[in-house]
Amino acid sequence: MIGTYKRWKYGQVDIKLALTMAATAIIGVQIGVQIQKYILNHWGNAGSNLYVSVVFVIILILVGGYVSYDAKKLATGGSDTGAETPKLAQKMQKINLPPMMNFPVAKVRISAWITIPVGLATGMLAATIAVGGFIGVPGMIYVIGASAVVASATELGIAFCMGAWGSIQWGLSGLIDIRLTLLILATSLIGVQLGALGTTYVKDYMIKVVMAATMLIVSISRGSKIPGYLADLGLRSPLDPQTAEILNQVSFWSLVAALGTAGLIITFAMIKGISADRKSKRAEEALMHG
Amino acid sequence: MTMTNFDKTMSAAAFAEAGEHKTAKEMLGAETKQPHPAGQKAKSKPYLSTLLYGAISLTAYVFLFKNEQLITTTFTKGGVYTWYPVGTAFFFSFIHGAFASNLLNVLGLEAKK
Repeated sequence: MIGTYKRWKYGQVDIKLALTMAATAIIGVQIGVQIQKYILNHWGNAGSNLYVSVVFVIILILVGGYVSYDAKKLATGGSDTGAETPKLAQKMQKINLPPMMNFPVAKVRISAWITIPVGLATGMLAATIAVGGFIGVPGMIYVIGASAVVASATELGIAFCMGAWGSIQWGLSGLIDIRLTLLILATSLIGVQLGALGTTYVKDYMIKVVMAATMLIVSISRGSKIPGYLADLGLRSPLDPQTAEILNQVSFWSLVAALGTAGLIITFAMIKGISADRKSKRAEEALMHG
Repeated sequence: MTMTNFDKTMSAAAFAEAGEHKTAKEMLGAETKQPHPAGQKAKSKPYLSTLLYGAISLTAYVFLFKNEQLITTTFTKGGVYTWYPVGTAFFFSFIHGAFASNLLNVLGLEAKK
């Protein structure tokens, strides 16, 4: 909520796009939950774990790989902003299938029918791996045609709507531990605002670099869990304790590396942006004062 | 090629040094902000708000963990009690969020205008 508000204040959140996507994402969550229940009932916890990890790895490698390729192309292609509309999005925007919708902040006019599959997929992924943004953000960039800054900010709005709806559902069952929620809020409220102001200093392609790095490193973390889950289901021979321990360590440390890498890239890009901005302002002031 | 703000400023500085003051000012154009009028104070940092919101936030956290048993029991009753954890999360988001925002301002970390 605070992240959405801050980035809305910076003019980055397309509320209309967030609400449109959230409406279909909530339906996607329901579909995702039904699939999860089916797998849990048929193959138990091991089946559910394997399903979640496989979905994680496939989505993260495919989307992370493409975002990484795109970020590299923009960084080396001489683009000033890195915010050109991708070809797929340009084609989608040409489809004139009513109802057509205007999204003023994203500066996009597109058929509502194009937003529906993106929203559904975002919700389904959120129900499966708890992070719908891995599809939502690239979907808004490459299919709908929003810039990376607007897409990542609008995703916060979608996540807020889905989160609020989900929290009420869990709250009705009496399953919210408010202590854990508030402990996480204590530091995340600082981090989310620091990240939000950081986006005002970095170029669009830098957001894609952070996304790609996080996705690809997390895929290693989830991928190293798959052999263990396959063994749990009897689909391969049991792992020897040493291999299992190594894979657990790889999974844990690659997750730490993903968080650390994203944090470092954001911090360095932000420091560079702030320092360039201050230098520019000082030069302007010096010029104005003769 | 689009010129960045810094490029424009440096080009304008080069013209100004060469005595082309008018060209330098034109290069800076409308984007250049005028300096603060005489007597107008620069924006002060929100020290008081940071302390105030920080104190409220800290008090609320201490209160919550001093009474965690009662709060956890009440908040997990379900039904209409759902609004307790939801409302509490909103309250902490506003208070602690305001503290965090003011703290970043005090530290000189502000969004690019």
